[in-house]
Amino acid sequence: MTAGAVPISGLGCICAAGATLDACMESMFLGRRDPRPPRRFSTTHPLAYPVFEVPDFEGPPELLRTAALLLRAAGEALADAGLDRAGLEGLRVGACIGTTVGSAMNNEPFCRAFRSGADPAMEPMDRILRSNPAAVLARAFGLTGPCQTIVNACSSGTDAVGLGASWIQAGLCDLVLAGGADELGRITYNGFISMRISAPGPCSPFDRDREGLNLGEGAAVLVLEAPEQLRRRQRRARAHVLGYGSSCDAYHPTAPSPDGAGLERAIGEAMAAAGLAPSAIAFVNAHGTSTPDNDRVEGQTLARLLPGVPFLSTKGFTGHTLGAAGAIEAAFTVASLERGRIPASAGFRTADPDLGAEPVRENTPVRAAAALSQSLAFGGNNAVLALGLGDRP
Amino acid sequence: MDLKEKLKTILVTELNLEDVKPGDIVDGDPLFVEGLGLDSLDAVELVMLLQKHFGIELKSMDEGRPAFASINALAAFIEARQQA
Amino acid sequence: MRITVQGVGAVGGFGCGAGDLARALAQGGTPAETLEVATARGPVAIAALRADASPLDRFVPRRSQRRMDSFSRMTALAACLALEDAGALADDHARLGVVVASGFGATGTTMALIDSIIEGGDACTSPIHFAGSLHNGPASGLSILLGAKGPSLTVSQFQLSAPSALMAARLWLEQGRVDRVLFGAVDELSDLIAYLQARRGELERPPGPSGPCGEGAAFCLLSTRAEAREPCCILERAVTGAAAAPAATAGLVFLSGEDCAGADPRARRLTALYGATPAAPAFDLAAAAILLRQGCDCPPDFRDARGRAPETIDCLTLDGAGGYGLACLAGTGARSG
Repeated sequence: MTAGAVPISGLGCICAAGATLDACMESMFLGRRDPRPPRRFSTTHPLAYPVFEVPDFEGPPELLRTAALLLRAAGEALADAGLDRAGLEGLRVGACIGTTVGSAMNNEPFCRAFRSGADPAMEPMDRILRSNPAAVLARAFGLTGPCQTIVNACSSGTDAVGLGASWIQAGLCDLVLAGGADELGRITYNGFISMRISAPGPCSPFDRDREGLNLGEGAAVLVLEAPEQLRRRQRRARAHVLGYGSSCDAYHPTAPSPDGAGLERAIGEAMAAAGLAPSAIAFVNAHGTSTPDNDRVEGQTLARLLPGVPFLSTKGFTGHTLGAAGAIEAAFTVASLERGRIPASAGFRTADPDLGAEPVRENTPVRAAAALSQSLAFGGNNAVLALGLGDRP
Repeated sequence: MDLKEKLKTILVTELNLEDVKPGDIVDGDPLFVEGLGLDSLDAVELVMLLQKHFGIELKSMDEGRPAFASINALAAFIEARQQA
Repeated sequence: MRITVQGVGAVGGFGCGAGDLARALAQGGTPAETLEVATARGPVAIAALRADASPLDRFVPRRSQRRMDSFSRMTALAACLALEDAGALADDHARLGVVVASGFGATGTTMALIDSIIEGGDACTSPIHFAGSLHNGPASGLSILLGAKGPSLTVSQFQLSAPSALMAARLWLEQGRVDRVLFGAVDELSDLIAYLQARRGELERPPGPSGPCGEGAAFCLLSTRAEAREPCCILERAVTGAAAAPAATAGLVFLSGEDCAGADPRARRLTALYGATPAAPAFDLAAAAILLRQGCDCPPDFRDARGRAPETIDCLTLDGAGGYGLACLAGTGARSG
C-alpha cells in the first residue's frame, strides 16, 4: 500500500440512475437511462431540455433538497461502513462536501417578492441558512471535526474527496465524510440554457454529434477512514484514495484551455502521488459533460497521455450533477473496480475524429486495480482522483 | 436612433464596455477576437440580447456566427429576420 | 517548517491597503454611513461600512474589469494589495495556490441574474450574470489575472468560511502541495444582504453579530519559502471544529462570528473598523499581522497593562452553534509554543 493511500470504508450514492450505489451500477450495466423534461419546475423555453431528476424523493420541508439528498447518501455510506451516530462518538470526524446550488442564496420566489416591494416570509432564507451541506452533516451526526463546504463549481465533489483524504493523511481526523450534493433548480437550468450548452435531447458524451449537456441532481458520500481506526474496528477498506491532483487553467471564466495543459498537470500529480504508471490504470471515469468544448479537450488530453486506456462518461446515465458529480463518479469508479468492469459510455454512437479517442461502446471488463476519476470545472479547475481496490495499491 | 446606432449602444451598455463610446465602434470592424475583442461568453450574451431587444431566436450558435462578424453583419441579419 | 504571512491587503469601509487598515486600528473605528433599505413597511435605516474597489484601476486595466462585479473587484484589489505589500506582485505566480472564502457568495450578481429572468422571461436569462454568480468566480478571476496555475479552492459556509478555508491553505503548505498561498475572504453588502439585515429580527438565526454591516475583502500571502523579505508574522495554528473551542492563549484575542455568551471575556471585536461580515476572520487576520509587524509601534489600545506590544494574537471565530475557528499568529521575535 502506498504511504499516502487513504482507506474508503463505506460508500453511498443517490441520483437519477438509482437510489443506492448498487442500484445505480445495476441500471448502468443494463444501459438504462431516463432523461426527461423537468417535472419539478416549469419554464417558458420553446424547447424542452432533458434533465435527470431523482424520482420519488422528497426531503423534509425545513431543508434544501440538496441537504436532504446528501443526508440520504451519508446514511447509506455510514451503514455500509458499519457506523452510526453512536459509533462516531468520541472520534474526530470531519465533513468535506462539494456543492454549487446547495450553497446559493437564490430562492426565486423570495427574490421575486423582494424585488416587487413585498416583504416575503423569511422561511426560504432560513432554509438556506440551515442547509449548508457540511454543516448539515456535522449537525445530523454530531461531528466535532473540521467541517468544510467546497464551492469549486463542477470539480467540487472531486476536490472534496481529495481534500478530505488529506485531512486523514495529516492526522486531523479519524474519519471524514467526503462527498458532494446538488439539486436541480430552475435558475441553474435557465443558466446553462443561456450559455447555449444544454442539449435539446439526451446527452451523448464524446460523440461526434454531441450538442451539449443534460443537468442532473444527486449526492454521494465516501467514508474515509484512518488505517489505525479501521484496524481498531476490524474492518476492511473497500478501496483507497491513492492520489489527488488539482490545477487551474488560468485561461477563461467558462471555457477550458484548449491545450489541456491544466488537466495534464492534474492527472500527472494524481498519478505521481499514487505511484501509478499508465499501464496500471484500468480505466478513466471522465468528466465527459457532452459539450463540444469539454469533450474535445478531455478526449484529446486522454488520447495524448493515456492512449489505449479505456474511458467512459457516466453523465449519460446521471446528467451533470454539478457539485455532486465528482463524488458520484468516484463512487462509481470504486464500484466498477470491485466488479472488474465498466458500463458502456451511454449516449455514444459515432467517434469524433477531432478527439483521437473514443469511450467504451459496451460494458467492458477491466483488469488493473486502480482507476482515475476526473472533473473539469467552470473557472478552469481540473481535479483528478486516483482510486484503488481494497488492500492492494 | 437607427439600427446600427442602437446595436452599438446595446453592446456598450449591456457588455459593459466602459471605455468605449458607441460612436467609436466602426461599422465594418470585427466584433470578436480582434476589433472590439469580444469572446465566447460575450457571444452567448449577444444571442440573448438579440432575443431581448429584437425578439430574434437563434437555433444554434452556428446560425449566429456570420451575423456576429461586425455591426454591418449584425444589422443586416436583424433586418432580414424581421422582414421574414 | 514555518508558515509566514508575507503581506496583507484589504478593502473595506476603512479604505484600502495595509496603511488604511493600520490607521483605522489606531483610530479605533470607521464612521459608518446610513443605508435606507426599502421594505414593504417603509424604509429601515441600517448602519453600513461600504467598500470602494475603484483603486483596482491601479492593478487591472479598466477594460479588463468589464465583466467583474463588485464581488470580484474587491477580491482582486485585496489580493493585489497583499501581493504588493509582500513585495511579490511581479513574481511568477504559476505555482501559487489560491484559497478564497465567502459567507454568502456573489449575491449581487445572483440578484442580477434573477432580475434578467424577471424582466425578460426565461429566454432572457443573462449568461454573463449566470457565470458571474458562481461562487468560484473571484478565485478563477485571480488565477487568470495572476497566471496562477496551482490548486484553487473556494469555500462557502457563512461565518466559518474563512477559518475553514485557512485550515485548507495551511494544510496545502504543510503537505508541500505548494509553497505559497494567496488566502482571503470576500463578502458584499448587496441589496439582498442589506434587506436581510433590515429584517434580521425575523430570521431564525440572524447571521452575524449586531453592529454596522460591512463588506469587503481581506487577503494575505502565506509562504513556506525562504523569503528574502521579512515577514509580518508567523501563522502558528489554523484549526476548526465543533464542541468546545480551544482556549485562546495569546494575550490579545480578536473575536468574529455570532454573538455568543460565554466567549472569552478578553476577546474583542474589530467590527467598528470594517463592520459585521462573514469575511471578518480574514480582516482580523490582516489586522493582527499588521499589529505584529508594527511591534512596539503598535497603537496603545492594543498593548497590555504594562504597555507592551503583543507578541502573539489569536483570531477566534464562533458560529453560535458550537462551531469554531482559531488562528494563532506570532510576531517574528516571539518563540512559538
